[in-house]
Amino acid sequence: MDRGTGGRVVSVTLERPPPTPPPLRARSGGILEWITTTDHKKIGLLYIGTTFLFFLAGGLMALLMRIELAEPGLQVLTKNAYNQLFTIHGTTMVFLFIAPMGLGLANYFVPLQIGAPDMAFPRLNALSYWLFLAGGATILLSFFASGGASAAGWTAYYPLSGPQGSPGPGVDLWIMGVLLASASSVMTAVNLMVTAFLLRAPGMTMWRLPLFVWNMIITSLMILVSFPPITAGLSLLFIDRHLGGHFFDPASGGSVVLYQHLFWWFGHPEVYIMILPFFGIVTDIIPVFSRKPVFGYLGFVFASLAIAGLSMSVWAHHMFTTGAVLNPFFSMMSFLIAVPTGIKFFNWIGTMWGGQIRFDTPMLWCLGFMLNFLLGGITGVMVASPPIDFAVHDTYFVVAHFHYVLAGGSLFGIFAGLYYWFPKMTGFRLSERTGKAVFVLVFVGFNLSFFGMHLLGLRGMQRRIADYPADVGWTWLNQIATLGTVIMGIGVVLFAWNVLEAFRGRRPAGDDPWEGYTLEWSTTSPPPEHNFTWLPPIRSERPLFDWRQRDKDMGAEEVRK
Amino acid sequence: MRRWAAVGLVGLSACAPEGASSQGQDISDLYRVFVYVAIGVGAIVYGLILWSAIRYRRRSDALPKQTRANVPLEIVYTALPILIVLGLFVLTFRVERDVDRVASEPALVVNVSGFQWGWRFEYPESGISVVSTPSEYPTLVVPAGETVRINLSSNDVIHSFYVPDFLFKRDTVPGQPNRFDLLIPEPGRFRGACAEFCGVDHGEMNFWVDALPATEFDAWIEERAGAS
Repeated sequence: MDRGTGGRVVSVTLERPPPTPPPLRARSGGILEWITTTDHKKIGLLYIGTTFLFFLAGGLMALLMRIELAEPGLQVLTKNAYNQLFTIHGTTMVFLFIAPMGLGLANYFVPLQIGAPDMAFPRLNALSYWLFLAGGATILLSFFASGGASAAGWTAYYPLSGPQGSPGPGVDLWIMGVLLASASSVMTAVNLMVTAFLLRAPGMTMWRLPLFVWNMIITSLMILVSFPPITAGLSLLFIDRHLGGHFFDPASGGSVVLYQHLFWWFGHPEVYIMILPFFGIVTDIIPVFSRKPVFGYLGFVFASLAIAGLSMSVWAHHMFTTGAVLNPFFSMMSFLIAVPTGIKFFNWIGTMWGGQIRFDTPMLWCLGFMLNFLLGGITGVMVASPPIDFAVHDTYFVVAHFHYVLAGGSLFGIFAGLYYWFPKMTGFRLSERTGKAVFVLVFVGFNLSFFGMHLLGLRGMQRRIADYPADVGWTWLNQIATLGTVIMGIGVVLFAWNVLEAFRGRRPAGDDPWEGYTLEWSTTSPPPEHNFTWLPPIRSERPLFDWRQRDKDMGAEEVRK
Repeated sequence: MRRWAAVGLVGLSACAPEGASSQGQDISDLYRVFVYVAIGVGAIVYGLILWSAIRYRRRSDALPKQTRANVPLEIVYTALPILIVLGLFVLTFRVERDVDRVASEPALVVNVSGFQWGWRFEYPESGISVVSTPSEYPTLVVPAGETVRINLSSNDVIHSFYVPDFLFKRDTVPGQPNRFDLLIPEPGRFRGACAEFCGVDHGEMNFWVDALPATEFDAWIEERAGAS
């Protein structure tokens, strides 16, 4: 796989870049270096590491809840503790793990994929990270506040989140934490958009951008449109709680449903903010491992744009049972979102079709992503129908649906990205065998956890209850779910071992272990400060593939052996 | 062969509970259509994913044909889903209209209010009031085979009136009265619960719905109205 350093075809090697200088590893420093850094790769790593820690915290909360639900009755948690756990579990996974993990990976790889030396605004980038960390710490540490963390659900519906419903400081800390995290996201979104628009290398036209970059541009657009409403909504909530406002208080002419509108006006685009980055990653990985270009590049980009547009017009489908929005418009728009999402499935299938697919760990995660996300998409069409939503809203059916999307989809996409890019970020190779074991454990555990929840929901088990009757036939399904969560937990622990072992083993990964297509694979692993000493010419969305083909076209086939 | 396929489909759709109310029956029928379509679409897409993953696994180092796009195919796989969701939307629209329809003259009106953490069922025509007690879940008694209007309200936080067997729930929203009609064709006893998270004892906000034959219902009304 080496690109001809044997020097057997002199005419080719002469046109190559000069031998790569020893990588300018900016690994000096120590903790001060990490605190003061404005390097997009270091900030990216900080994001990835921090969000992963938050993921472990959120996962631990899920495990505690599942242990409580394994049997009817209350065994390990009080009701109040359970309510805090599911509130902070949801908040952590949404605001502190999935969305910022997408932004963290983008921080590292958008500049690399477009051939840029850094993000457009490096110091703003550092500010984003530290605001995010402050927000996350505020939310998680609120467990230690008097009265504990917020127990109003991650949606914090008024009046339950109001001054009478939740008098303690938990909700205030929750509001502050989310506001900090959302301010951070808005800054990163601006940064990413400017970077992708203005810092592209010569030849990198918009239609040659890797699809991860395209999806990050579109994600950023959605962040810019959807985070201001939640910022406003939570600020109004804070004013209602402490400054005598009555925006949501019906006794003084306010509207309870207004809060839900503001929340979901953010909340639904947020769903796509949490999935589009990983659509992008998967769509970068599948072609590489199928040895084909992506099928339907333009269709994919327009599908992402369509999703972004439609995602702004479906918020009220979370509110069908309030009786305030029985307008069929929201149902129609929600159905239509299935169309661009379906296009993406056909992009992936079309890419694999006729390919030579190698199932290394990143590709396995992509396969798991497709299999899980498809079910989440199908049940998504069901809950978009208001009458069906009347039946399953706020039951475990919906819990199953959005975990198939966010855990089966986004989380698998995150793992795909981490396995794909780990060699680039660290210079080390992960053990493929351990990685495959992690995949099997997480895939099996995930499906055991969540598939049965569809049935639980249809049988009438509502969300957000710590206890359930013993005589309604829910127990065995809950036990399977708990078993699945434990298996998933073992998989995540094994993943941590996978990573630690790679750092201890120090097996060099090489610059381009997967025969990648995009520019990050043309530099060293890890890349030097300011990323590139050389760039291949960019003539398509696969500059590195073209560069390798050029070898072959010039008769250098034997070099590859 | 076809018969077995039909049996399989019926078996799979059995995971949809039957609706015990006439509105719930409509929803159950709609759900069943969605499940059939989901099975069809799922079978095709899962089949394509697994087929291409197995059939095109790497067997050689040869570079496969570098297909980039196929516009007619892309038009087909954009247009077909649009047609499918339009069809589903039409069905949805009809069922939603029926489920949301309220009769001008219901046989009985019950005012249901949710509170932290229980329910109050008031019968304005006969002055009866049934309230949760710490030891017992309340029972909403209604006549079977007649249209009952349920008016929903709440004075503290949002709750949701949910009866799994009716495949239906509707929120009790402070400051926004809601209503819906319920017609339970056959007598029976059904479990209900609060579906909108409402605080510590959210999981304890259960209730029962008793649909009684008309004569028994009248006797119940007389007994309760006389008692109060």
